[in-house]
Amino acid sequence: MNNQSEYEAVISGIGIVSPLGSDKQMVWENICRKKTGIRKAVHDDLCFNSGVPFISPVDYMHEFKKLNNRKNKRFMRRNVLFFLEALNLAIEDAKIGKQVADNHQDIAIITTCGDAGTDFRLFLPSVLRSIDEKSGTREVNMKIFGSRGLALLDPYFLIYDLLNSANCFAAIEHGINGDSNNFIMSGGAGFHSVKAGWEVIKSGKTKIAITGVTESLLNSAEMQYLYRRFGYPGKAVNGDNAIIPYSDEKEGLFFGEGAVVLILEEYNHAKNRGAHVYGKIHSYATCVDLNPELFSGDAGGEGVMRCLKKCLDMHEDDKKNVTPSLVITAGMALKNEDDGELHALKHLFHDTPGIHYATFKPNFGYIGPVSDVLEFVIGLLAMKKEQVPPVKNLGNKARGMNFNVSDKEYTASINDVLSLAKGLGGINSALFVRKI
Amino acid sequence: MRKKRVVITGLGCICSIGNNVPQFWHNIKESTIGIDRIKAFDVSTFPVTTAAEVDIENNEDLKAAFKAFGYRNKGHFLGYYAVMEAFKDAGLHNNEKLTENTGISLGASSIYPSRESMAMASRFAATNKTWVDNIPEQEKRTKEEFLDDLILFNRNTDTIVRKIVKDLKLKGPAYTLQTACASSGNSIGNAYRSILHGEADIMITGGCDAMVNYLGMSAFIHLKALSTTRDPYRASIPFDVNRNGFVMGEGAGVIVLEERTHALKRGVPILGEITGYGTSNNAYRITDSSLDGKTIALSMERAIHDAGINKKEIGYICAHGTSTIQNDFTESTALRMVFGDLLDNIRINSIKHCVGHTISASGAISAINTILSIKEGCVTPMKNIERIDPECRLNIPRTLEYCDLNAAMVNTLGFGGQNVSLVFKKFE
Repeated sequence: MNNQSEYEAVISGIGIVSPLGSDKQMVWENICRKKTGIRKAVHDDLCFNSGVPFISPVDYMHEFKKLNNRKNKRFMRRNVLFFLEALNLAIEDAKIGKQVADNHQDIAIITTCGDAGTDFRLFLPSVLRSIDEKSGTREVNMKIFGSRGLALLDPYFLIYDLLNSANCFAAIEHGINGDSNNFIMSGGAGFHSVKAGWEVIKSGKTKIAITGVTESLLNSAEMQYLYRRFGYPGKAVNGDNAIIPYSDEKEGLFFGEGAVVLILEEYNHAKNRGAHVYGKIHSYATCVDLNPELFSGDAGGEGVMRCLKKCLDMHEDDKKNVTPSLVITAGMALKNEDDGELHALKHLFHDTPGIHYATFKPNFGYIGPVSDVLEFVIGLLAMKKEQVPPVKNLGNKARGMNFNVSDKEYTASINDVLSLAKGLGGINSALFVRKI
Repeated sequence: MRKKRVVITGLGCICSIGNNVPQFWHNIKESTIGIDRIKAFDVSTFPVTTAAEVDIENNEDLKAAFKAFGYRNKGHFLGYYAVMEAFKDAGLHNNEKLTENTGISLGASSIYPSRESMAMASRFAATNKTWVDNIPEQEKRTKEEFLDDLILFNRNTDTIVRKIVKDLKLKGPAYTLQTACASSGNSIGNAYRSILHGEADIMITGGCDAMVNYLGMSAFIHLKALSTTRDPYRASIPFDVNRNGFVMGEGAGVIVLEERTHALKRGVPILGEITGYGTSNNAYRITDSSLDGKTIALSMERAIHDAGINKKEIGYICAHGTSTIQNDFTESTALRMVFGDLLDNIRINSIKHCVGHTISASGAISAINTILSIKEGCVTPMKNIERIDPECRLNIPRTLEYCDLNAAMVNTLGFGGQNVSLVFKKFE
């Protein structure tokens, strides 16, 4: 899908809440210093009992502005609070506070919420009082539940557990009545909300679309499931070497949390008000790998290739003409996903000189759909600063990764950024932006 | 730039009144009530006893299909089942070339933990050990079985979309959406825009849900949203003066959308056309919408504007009509705000009196009903409505009414404040 409309969409505001901080400059500097947000799980972490050794959490929630003044805070999960904070930062960055207040009916709000697992603590008090002790199975007895457990259930657990709650609370907080939608998928789907916001602007339905993504899955149920399903690297001894993408020596990832909001704006609207523009959205694509396994991607890379080709509107005979300056790779540190990505990138770009590459899972951990947009934001900052950031834990030792990567930041002319996102189970998305 | 046109070339449906589209359509025309006393669990001590369940246990075909499906999620299974019907209906089966630029956009169900999973959680809560360590040796299952239990905690809403894509070899875009009760309305809108913007030629879209389980029901019992009427015939009575809440339903509705010239080129029967999609956010409260109905009206206005039609062309509206006191009043107010006196001549109904509120599937099943209503030129009746609430003042047919319909609208309103309106037209 590419930009063939009379309306063009640019990115005019960014707000992030990440394990490496929420100030863009600070996060950029942390990336350049090859810092990581991954740390050992400690007793106070929600997921401690899951046995997961490392996580990449947002440890500074107490610093969020307005956090304690928010109405209905008790109904908000961590991912909602992250999103609201990122949204405020994005509105501030784009300087559209007045626009949001004056044109709230027309502003679109489109989100991707990570599928954070059910927090069983919501149900447990009621469940524990509804077990038929005589049965020996510890199963919930429906008669007991109806007469006793039901009353003990948190009456608002549905609100707390609502999958579109980040979208709704954000709309309530800012009074936004425009085009509204919420995608719910794991990694690889972070760009879906950007795509939908872009469509709304392209079709002339709005001048401003708030798009964003949020995830917080660091609870014990979720971690138990994800780590047992996908595994984690036993060799990790500290956060710094916890994730090594494309590595022959170890495989596996650690999870994090956070949120990102991008303000999309119709180009002339942004230009006329003198907004700072980070980049213009050029094209986008998404698809799923066709290998039969539900929980892993295709090592052959056919799906990634299909996604990239669609995004760049490429055909076999003109592939050499497409030269993105900077490619942000997913680098999941999972064998099938990494192999598939490497095959696709080699096939499409191996003979194209001048492409720079970067990948950021070792810095942020894997944050589901948030990773997609967060890593893309680092690409946008690189384009703005004309600096290619260093890549942590990669170098030349990585399996077959003989691309143009460096462990030190360096200056380069970056005119466009192609960001590739992958999710568990073979979801692929790509977003291509160009400098104005 | 000239707007592309998007037509409907396939339908699939499963709900309490039918396991396929012909059964559903026959029964909705008869106003067959698919609501009964809950069979899924013992409700003898529950304040709510009725639901519109899909009975898998007593249907050998469904039972076998559910077993073969691969994982234990009823909502996802229903979605898969309806997708297969729609896929075949659109003539997409056995034709890999057609799936090259075919995508999917599905409103998928939430999952609440089963009783077995809760039993595991309760053991876990008793100690500081990990879950695996908490399972007594004699109960230890294989790793895969254990993961199946855990998956119920990890909702993995998008698993159904990945499964469909992989099984049907769909090479186009894949989206999973969740905007509560508006999910399938939003997913249809997203699919429609995907085709308009050239992202795909064909999109399989709709929604699925199955929340008739003890936690799903409890959530809405606490919010006092469910009907406490024990008579299944009168439990779900949208716009009736005696309504007192909605009845939980289960099901899936799936529509195949296709770019017009693509459909014409392959000569597939065209069932109708989607011409408008409007959406808005109430930005009011998570649990309810403002009584003035302004933001619901906004979504309808946007859909009509998107369709580029005059309001007079709308001959029928399939309302969200949940049968709760507030929703039906607010929606009626919004309808009056948009259509004014024209509303008196527009036929209106809600299918929830037959199939209950199928949450993430409700917009799609309503859309199927609307597409077939336009195609056959009729509006299906609501036989169990005794007295229409004078505060709603709607033109609701009690018997099947035949009429020439050129355009019709579907409303679907989601918990959290998400509103969606869709406009469908006769294909000409």
